[in-house]
Amino acid sequence: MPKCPHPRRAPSPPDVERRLDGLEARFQGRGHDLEELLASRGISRRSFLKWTSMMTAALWLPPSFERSVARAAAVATRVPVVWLHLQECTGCTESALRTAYPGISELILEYLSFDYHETIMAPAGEAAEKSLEDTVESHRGAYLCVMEGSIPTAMDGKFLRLGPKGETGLSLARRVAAGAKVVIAIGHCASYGGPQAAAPNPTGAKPVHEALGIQTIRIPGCPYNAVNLVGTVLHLLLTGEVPALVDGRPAWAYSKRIHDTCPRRAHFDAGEFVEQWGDEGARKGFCLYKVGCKGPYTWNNCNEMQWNQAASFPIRAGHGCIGCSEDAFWDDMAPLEKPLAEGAVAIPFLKGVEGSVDTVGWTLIGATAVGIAGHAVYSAARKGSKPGHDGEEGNHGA
Amino acid sequence: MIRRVRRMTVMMRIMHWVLALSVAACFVTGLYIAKPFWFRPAPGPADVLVMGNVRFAHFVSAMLVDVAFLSWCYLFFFSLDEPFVRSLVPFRKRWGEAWAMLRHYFTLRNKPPTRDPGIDPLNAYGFVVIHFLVFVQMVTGFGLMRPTFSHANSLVPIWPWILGLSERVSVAVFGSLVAVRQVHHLAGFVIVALATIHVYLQIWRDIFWTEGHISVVFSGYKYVEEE
Repeated sequence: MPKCPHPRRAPSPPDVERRLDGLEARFQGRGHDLEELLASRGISRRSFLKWTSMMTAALWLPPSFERSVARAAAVATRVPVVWLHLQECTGCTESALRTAYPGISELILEYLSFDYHETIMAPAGEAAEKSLEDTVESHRGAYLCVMEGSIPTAMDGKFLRLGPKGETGLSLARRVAAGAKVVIAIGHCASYGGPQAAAPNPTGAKPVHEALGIQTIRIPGCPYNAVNLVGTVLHLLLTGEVPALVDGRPAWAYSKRIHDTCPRRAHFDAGEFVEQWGDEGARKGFCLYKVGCKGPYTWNNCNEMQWNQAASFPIRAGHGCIGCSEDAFWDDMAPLEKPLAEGAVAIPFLKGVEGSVDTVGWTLIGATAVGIAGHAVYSAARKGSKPGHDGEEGNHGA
Repeated sequence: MIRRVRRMTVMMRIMHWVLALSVAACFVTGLYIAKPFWFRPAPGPADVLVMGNVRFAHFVSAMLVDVAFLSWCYLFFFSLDEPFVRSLVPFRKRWGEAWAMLRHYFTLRNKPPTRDPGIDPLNAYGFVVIHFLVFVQMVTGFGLMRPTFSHANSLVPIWPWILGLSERVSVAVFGSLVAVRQVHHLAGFVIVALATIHVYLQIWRDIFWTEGHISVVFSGYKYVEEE
């Protein structure tokens, strides 16, 4: 959960322009030309500039940076990217690649200059390995490394082996991360370990920053939102710096709580809740808190950026937030369709037995009441059997 | 002859009732916030703010609990009348007295230990435990409040800092905001259970010791029979 974001000095425009000049010169001719891409998809210059304004505002930059953001977007499709798939489901990649009508963020993401991307790269086998080696060597210190998935660390990482040489994920990630300009952890798995790290975590799955002991930029979510990755890449290209982070996540995307920007928030404050799926409240779009929405414990920008070409997102579609951008959400937020008051907690002194918080609480109150009743009966019985008992009492405390 | 013994000052009685009523209010409103238990299907115009009002009541009563808690903390050491800390030190002696009192409650056999002036040590230990839990509620509550808190409406600059610190400390101790929330929820039940025991014991003492213990918290005096 985020601490207060650190206010950062805004980048100076001349510095940004100089940086972009350098990047453009260095990566000229690599990857894809953004203007051609936009034209091929029939996206007008006007749409692109509207998107630029949106990204500039989203990145907390002043409007004068719109031009630089447009230039950075054009550089973004040329900078070499190594994208590693570790212990994961490829859902993050799929969610970005399978868009029917990609927005500009998705388009840029799709056409990042992937020198190595196990899902979509053209080469295979030795050729693919060579491509990876070449990038790591020739662009040492300049390429971006994106890691998708957690890293199993039990049994020396043997739970995950990749490539023709059967290299462990741990070793591959360490090797690629060493030469990267920056490591971006994509999705919940790379950021926090994902469901594979849920108790009892048999493979010793760890998020990238813990497994490798390095700093990563975490873009959690299950899957993550393309806007958050593209925005972070743009920020890196513009300033050469990691954006302000809260809890390892870019502050510009992850410092607002879902609950506070929720379109159903008014219904929460009014006390209007969906009681069960499909009831009248559900049809009226009432708050999903009682059917387990975890928006109050989740920081993300789903409300603003939305999903599927900004068409909708879970809460708007009628299901509560499951907290997929929060650490250990599989363990913490379960059951996902019940409020936390019904969340399971281990019952003290009963090893392995779980009960809901409410059950434990009310059992405690009930046990107290039973104890009191027992004591009252006991006291009354003893008093009845011993008349004059009071007389022997002295001066007691308060 | 019956002697009147002063047991609670006016301030102590006020704080006692502020604490009692606001803890009760916090518990009931807290239950609603955790899992809203009544539902208004077709509200009229947009003047309905059930959850908003319940949360407001929760926050206001929580602030009252906190003020009463901090005042008790001060009086615990520095009361001119009767610092409670004297009921806890010397530790070995007082622990023995508390243990004797506990045995008396359970067996009703041995004579209850006496101590005058000052509250009996068992009561004092209970007081410390319940106030520790109130402190836990305070820190976890501030931690949970931090995300909803806009710095713009802070009257004193230290307030955002207190909330931020509470969040960091409670998350560091309990692991995550969800865990903090569960602890906050459970501790409420424990406080209410302890308060129930406390009320029962005061009534029990009033009945079995016939010294007017219930009176203490209203008038400030109890009545002791002397030869």
